Parts: sequence; structure tokens; C-alpha cells
Amino acid sequence: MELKNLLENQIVLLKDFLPVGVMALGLVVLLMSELTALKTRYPNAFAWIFIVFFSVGPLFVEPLSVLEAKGSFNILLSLSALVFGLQNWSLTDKSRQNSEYYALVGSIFIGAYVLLNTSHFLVAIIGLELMSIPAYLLTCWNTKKSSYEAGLKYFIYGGFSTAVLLYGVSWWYGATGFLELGSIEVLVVALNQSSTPFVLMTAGCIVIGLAYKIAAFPMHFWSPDAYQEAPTPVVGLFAVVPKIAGFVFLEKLTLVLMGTTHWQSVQKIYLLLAVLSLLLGNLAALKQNKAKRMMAYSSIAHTGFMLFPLLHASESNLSYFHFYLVLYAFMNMALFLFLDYYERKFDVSSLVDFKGLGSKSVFMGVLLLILLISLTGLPPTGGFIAKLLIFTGMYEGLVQSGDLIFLFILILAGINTVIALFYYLKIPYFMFMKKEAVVKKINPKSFLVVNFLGFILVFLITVSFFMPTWLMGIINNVNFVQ
Amino acid sequence: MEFTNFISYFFIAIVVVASSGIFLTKNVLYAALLLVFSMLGLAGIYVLLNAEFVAVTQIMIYVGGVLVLVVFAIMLAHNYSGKPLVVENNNLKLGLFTVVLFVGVVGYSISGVHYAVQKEQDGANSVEAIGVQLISRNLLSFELIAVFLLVSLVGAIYFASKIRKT
Repeated sequence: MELKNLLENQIVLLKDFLPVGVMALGLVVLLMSELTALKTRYPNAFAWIFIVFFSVGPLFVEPLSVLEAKGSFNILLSLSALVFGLQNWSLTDKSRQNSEYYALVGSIFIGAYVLLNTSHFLVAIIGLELMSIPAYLLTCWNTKKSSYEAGLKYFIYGGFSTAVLLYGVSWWYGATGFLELGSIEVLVVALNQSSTPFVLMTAGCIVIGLAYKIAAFPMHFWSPDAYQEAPTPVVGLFAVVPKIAGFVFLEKLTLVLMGTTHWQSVQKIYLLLAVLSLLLGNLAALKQNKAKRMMAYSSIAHTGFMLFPLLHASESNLSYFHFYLVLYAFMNMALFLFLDYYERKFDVSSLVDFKGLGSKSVFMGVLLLILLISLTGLPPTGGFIAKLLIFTGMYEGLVQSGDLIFLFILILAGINTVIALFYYLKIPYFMFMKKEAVVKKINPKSFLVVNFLGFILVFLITVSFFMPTWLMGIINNVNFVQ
Repeated sequence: MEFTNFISYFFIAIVVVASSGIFLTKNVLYAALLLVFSMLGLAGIYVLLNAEFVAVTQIMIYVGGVLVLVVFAIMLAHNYSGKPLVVENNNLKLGLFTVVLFVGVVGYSISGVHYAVQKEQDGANSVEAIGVQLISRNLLSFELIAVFLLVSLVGAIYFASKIRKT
């Protein structure tokens, strides 16, 4: 290759580097400033550096070559970085004032950005690993025996599922000759030439590899332990950032598989994952008595819900899917913000500890109530609209394809929404209906920023009930996938 | 062609025998040494598939680097306790069942594959071509891996220092 061609290529490629480069620069700045006296003078400096680099970085969206940044979940990524930074800014915990803490979290954001914007399998795997390794380390962050155990569990599952994913990808490459998911028609033609069991195995391996990141059924075992042991702001990230990135990549994969003649069988994998995640998540959540553990199962159930639109990935169904994804992100960001608030202020960890806290902080209590109603999927919240849209999509699927699977899903999802009501409303029940037994320690520090952020997020969730078209308009205007 | 086939079966046999040996032996040191053979056999297969670069990295990184470290660690542990490190093979029946199931399912599935990729010709993916790719088209991936290594290193050092303190 001539030098001139190479250089021209380089200049085109430099645009790829802008968002990732900003974030990587943030990583370096964070690590370098550990060497200066910045930390002793301004204890919250790292949080500010984090916010500056990581909430600005993902916004430099350019049409790229290797990374196909046509998606705009990047805005959500940037918002999530902002929330995380502000949440940690208002804390005084020593172990969260290390630059390493922010650097590891920053790496999760870089990985998520890469996974969101690529349609190349190998780049996606680099993104997945960039998200995974720091996640294992952050799970162990409290350096207790139980958190090491959770981290190890996470690590073993992660390694296993990456191996399965790579195995699937290597067969995919053998059968199609492409590692990019960009040219759908070519891929469909290539896949149609292979037999159905082969495509089933290949797609199954890849989907199960991704299921680990989105915490769907066969790969969900790590999530309750990791959620229980990791620092709460980080758990908020685990629930939002890798899940969105994984789902967007899964959607790109689905758009290819959907066109093949094998889709009828491959669909069954999705169906199995979705139904089992939904059932297991909801039924296991009923029995939990720790708040964060319960929310881990709730997030597994939500994963099941979000897999349904991919079964019938028509254009309208995909926009419903995006709507649910955005609302899910808002709800979980807010949820872990509140759990962190209660954990720090009232030392709450199990559900019983919420006893009588409703009268201690009425404002936050009411916000949390609205949020939990939204997570259940009842009016007047955005969660209701999101669930309603999924149901609408399934009904459309039933009418258009006449497949009775969709009827089954409709009934099952309806039953599960009722089950979800029982465990979500346990927290408000303890907060408002029970009198407080013992006054636990109350941390006097005010959390103004957290209160404000929580209010904004819950406000957004409520607004999206009254004006769903507004959010839908934003979602439809930005092209999410190609 | 016949001769190449023969050699490739030879290498495959090495990999299979060495890998099953890892599971059958109870001594961890033997397992590590058998892993060396397995990796070398794989490197041989890569050479036959005209992927010299992968073969060389396989030998340099796995055999030369990772496995030497593993063997070192095992020998140090051995000196420390005075007994050879021994592991138990649990769940033998379930394991065998899983293996048979896995081989059956994967074997049945891949019998229906239609390959779109042909075997690379000689020199098609030489070291030079890979080098050019790494600094042009795949530069971003290359740099991302650098970030990945940095972050892993930072995390490892943080935890190592924290454990020493406590």
C-alpha cells in the first residue's frame, strides 16, 4: 500500500478518535492528577474531572468508518456519566475519592461507547471487555470477603460467556466472510446457504454471549451478587450502561437474522431467553429481602420485557423498544440514586429497614413511590406508557403474523406485571404504612444534588406519561441504528 | 496435499491427546506441561492454515510467556507447601455427558455450514500486511486495546496495594 493512500486513510480515521480520545484523555488526566496535591485541596476534584470528560466525550458524534456512530444512545451515555459524577460528587466516602475508582468507571463508559457505535464484531468484543474487566474490579471495591466472592463469580461468568461469544463469532465469520454487520443483504444471502441448525448454533452462541451483558436468563447468575456487593452508584451503572450497549448491539444482530430464512427457529432462542428472564426475575424478586438484590432481579425481568419487541422487529416495534430502553435507563438511574441516598442517610440495606422512613423525608419518599409505580408499569408514569407500547407491539405482531406466540407473550407479560406490583410496592408499604421500630443512625449531611437529580429524573418519567409523543419524537428523530 | 493432510491430523492428535490429558491428570504441574503441548499443536495447525503470524504469537505469548509464568507459580506453590499440587476430578459422569452432548450438538450443527471464507493463499496475511492494517484501518481497535491494558493494570495495582496495606 502506498504511503499517500495510508495517510489519506489516517485523516479519515482521525475522526473516529475524537469521542474515544476525549474519554481516554480523561482517563489519563484522572490518573495523573493522583500525583498532584489536587486531591488534598479539593476532595471532589476527581468527580468534576470525570463529569467534564465523560459527559462531553460521547457527544462528539460523527459518521465514522470503523465505528458506525449513527446511533444516538450516546446522549444517554453522557447523561449517565453526568448523573454518576454528580452522585459521587456529593459523597464524602474515602474509598470513592480515588482516581482509580473514576478511571475504572471511565473505562466502562469507553467500552459502552464503542459497543454502542460499532457494528464490527471484533471491535464490539474489545468494547465488551473494556466494560467487563473494570466491572469485576468495581464489584470487589469494598474489599470484603463477600464482595471478592461476587467479583470472582462475575469474572468466571464473564470469561465463559466471552468464550462462547467468540466461538459463535468465529463460525459466523466462516459462514459469511464478514465481521461487520453493516451490509445486511450480503449477510442474509450467505447465511441462507447454511443449514438451520448451524445458524441456530451460531446465533445462539452470540446471543448468549451478549445475554451476559444484558443479564438475561442463562447468564444472569452474577447479577444479584454483583448488585448486592458493588458500591451503589456503580450498581446504577451496571444496570444502565452495559445493558443499553448490549441491547443496541443485539438489535443490530437481530436486524440481520430477521431477514434470513432461519428466523422462525432463531426467534425461539429470543423467546426462550425473554420468557425465562421475565419469569425468573419476577418470581425470584418476590422472595428477596435486600433492596439491591431485589432490584437486580427486577432488572432481569425488565431485560425479559425488552427482548419481546426483538421477536417481531418491525419499524414501529423497534421504536417502542427504544422508548422502553430510554425509560428503563431513566428509571434505573433514578432508582439507584434513591437507594444510595437511603443507604447513606439512614443506613438502609434490607427492605425492613425502610420502616417509617416515609415520614422522615416525605419529599424523597413520594418521589421513590412514583418511581416504583413507574417500574411496575402503572399510570400515571412513563413506565406505563413503555409497557403499553410493548403490548401494542406484541398485538401488532399477533395481527400481522398470526403467530400464537404473541398471544402467549401478551398473557404472560400481563400476569408478570401483576406479580411485579407485589414486590415493588413492598418498599412504599414499609415506608408509609409501618411505624418505625428503632431509630437507626441518621447521617446529617444533606444531599441536595442527589435530591435535585432524583427530582429531575422522576419529573422526566412522569412527563413522558403525559407527553409520550414528545419523547417518542426525540427518539424517532435521531436514527438509532443505521 | 496428502502429506499436508497427514501432518494436520498429526497436530490435531497432539492437541486432542494433550487437552484430554489435562483433564485426566490430577497433578497441576503435569497439566500445565500438557497445556504447552496443546498450544504447540495449535501453533502447528495455524502454520498449516497459512497463518504464520498467529502461530508465532501463539508460541511467543502463550508458550513463552503465560505458561512459563503458570509453571513458575505452580513450582513456587509446590516449594511452599512441600507437596505437589493435586486437584480432584468431580462430577465425572455429568462432565462426560456434557461433553458428549456438546460434541453431538456442535457436530450436527456444523455439518450444515456453507463456508464463504476460503483458505488464505501464501503470504496473503503476512506480518507486513497485518502491520499495515494495525496502523491504518484498525488503528482505533489497536489503541482501544492499549486503553484496556492500562485499565487492567491500574486495577491490578490498586488491589495489590490495598491488600498489602490491610
